[in-house]
Amino acid sequence: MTVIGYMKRSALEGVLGDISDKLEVIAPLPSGDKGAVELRRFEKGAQVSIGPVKPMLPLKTIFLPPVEQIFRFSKSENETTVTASTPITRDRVVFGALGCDIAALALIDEVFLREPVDEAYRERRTRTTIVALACEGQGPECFCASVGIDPVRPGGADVVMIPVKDGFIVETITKKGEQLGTMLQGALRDPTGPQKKTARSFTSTSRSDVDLSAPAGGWSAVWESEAWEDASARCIGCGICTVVCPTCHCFDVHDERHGNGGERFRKWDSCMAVNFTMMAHGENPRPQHRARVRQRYMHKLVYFPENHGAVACVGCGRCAVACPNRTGIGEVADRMREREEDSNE
Amino acid sequence: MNELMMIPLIARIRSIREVTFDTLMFEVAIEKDGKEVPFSYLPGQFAELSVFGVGESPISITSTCTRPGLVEFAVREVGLVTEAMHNMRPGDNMGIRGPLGNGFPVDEMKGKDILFIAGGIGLAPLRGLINYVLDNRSDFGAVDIIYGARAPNLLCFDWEFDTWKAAPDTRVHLTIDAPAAGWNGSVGFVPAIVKELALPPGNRLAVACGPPIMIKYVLEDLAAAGYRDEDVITTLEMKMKCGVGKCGRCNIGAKYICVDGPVFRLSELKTIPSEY
Repeated sequence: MTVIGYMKRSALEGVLGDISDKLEVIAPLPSGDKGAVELRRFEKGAQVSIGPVKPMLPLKTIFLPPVEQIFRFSKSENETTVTASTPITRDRVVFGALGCDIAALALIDEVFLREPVDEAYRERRTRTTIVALACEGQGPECFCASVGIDPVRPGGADVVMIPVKDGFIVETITKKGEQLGTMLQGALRDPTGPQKKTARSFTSTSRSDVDLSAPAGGWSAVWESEAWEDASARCIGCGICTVVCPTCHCFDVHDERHGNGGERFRKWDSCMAVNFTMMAHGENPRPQHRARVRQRYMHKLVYFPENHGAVACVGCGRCAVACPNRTGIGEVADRMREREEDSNE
Repeated sequence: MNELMMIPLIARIRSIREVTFDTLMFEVAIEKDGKEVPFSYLPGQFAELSVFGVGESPISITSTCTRPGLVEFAVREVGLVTEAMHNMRPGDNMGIRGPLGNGFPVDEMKGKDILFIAGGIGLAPLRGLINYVLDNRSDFGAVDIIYGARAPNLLCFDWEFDTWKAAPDTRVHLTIDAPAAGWNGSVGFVPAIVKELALPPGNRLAVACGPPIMIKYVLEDLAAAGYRDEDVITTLEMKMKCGVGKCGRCNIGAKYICVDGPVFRLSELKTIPSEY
């Protein structure tokens, strides 16, 4: 980690504009006029919404787009030509990424970068530089500190921007970050003593008291927990929790025909959907709502840790904010353990 | 594995054979950039076959790698993709990704007696293994094949039965669910035949594939007969979509059927929830 300088907030759009001549720039930008923010391509002249509002959809959207073409095909006589789609055409930089969202990429990497490697995902990952915004906590829903994430200097970031008065202290972390740092040079000044001090003492208000641990005994210990009955009774099955979740990564695959050719694409899917496990002959091994709710939480709290050593939750709290009945994963994990203790009594 | 794992090669249909009224067997040659390429696989592996513009389905490989050349897939018509496959003709092409999945543990099966138990289309993944075992006959002990279907005309791969019966130390026990005109073999469900034959565990492995209800009873019966969980093998072949452990559909407990399976020992299945 190296402090490379102080950048004025008012210089940010100009810098991004200059960088956008060389790289594709993605940044939090206003979405509509209700104060919402989304991560999308920055064009010269745009105002960046870097700061207190969390993007509605997480960073995964730029590595696993909601709908993504896999290939095109064209047919003639008995021949079919398949042309793989190009995931991205330029190297990219994401500005203002939050620690929770960056940490989630490391979890998705476990799945998409294991053999056989998902080439489209890998290309997007390797060709993207991540500039984190040190996060002071974006709302009462935030609990990344509970799952071992450093929201100030998150692992996985190439560069970190730490907010200080009227600007940012910029630190480079990786080699990729250093390369980006050279593009920022023109907008950087030597930081003052007080600025450095503010950056050093920057802290987050993220809650550190949410307990997502599963009881000993693995899945079988909580398989029949009444937590699933309770959670599914209140769940309307809309699946918005899976849409806004930075770690959810399930998808479906579809073909479409256009004249003599067509395309195959994948799109986000959700374990909350009844068709998710429906098979062609009509059988569905997970037909009950309760079983689907259980699958979502078990996958995050029990199965994923068993395979990869970490819960598949980064404490962003988006699920609880988006959920029509405000159910948060911490609450369900609590109930899962409570019920288990009850039944052991 | 293809360089780009979601990008299929071409499977050129060379011939189509009727297996039952709703099941066809496709013999295909694999092509890459217009040239035929080898396709090496293990018994029990599967491939994602697709009809371009319609969709993709996971289908078990029913041929054996001991007979290089065309690759065989038996496809039952159950949905949109398989219906489109049934409308294809020799010379047409499908997309293919594979081979995928773990396959049967053939090296660990060497030296063992083997009891094959199959129902209906469940013989498709076992046929490749049976022919593999018979092509390496001296590597394996006694072979017994229990196979049943609802009616005589629903028995798949009936052209194989005489060859299998003629192989050394190999017996084929066929059964149908209810009496039928012209049928001289056993009548009764597969689990009943398993019980009736009562082949003791000893040095024997049981390999079963069939409809869930058949598997349920067969597994119970084998346990009652003293088979150890690690000596009972089945192939789940369900719920899969991407086939490469990414899309999440076939996740059960900490396993993914498509990459950790589709072949599982019963001892492994007992470590995951019974959502299959």
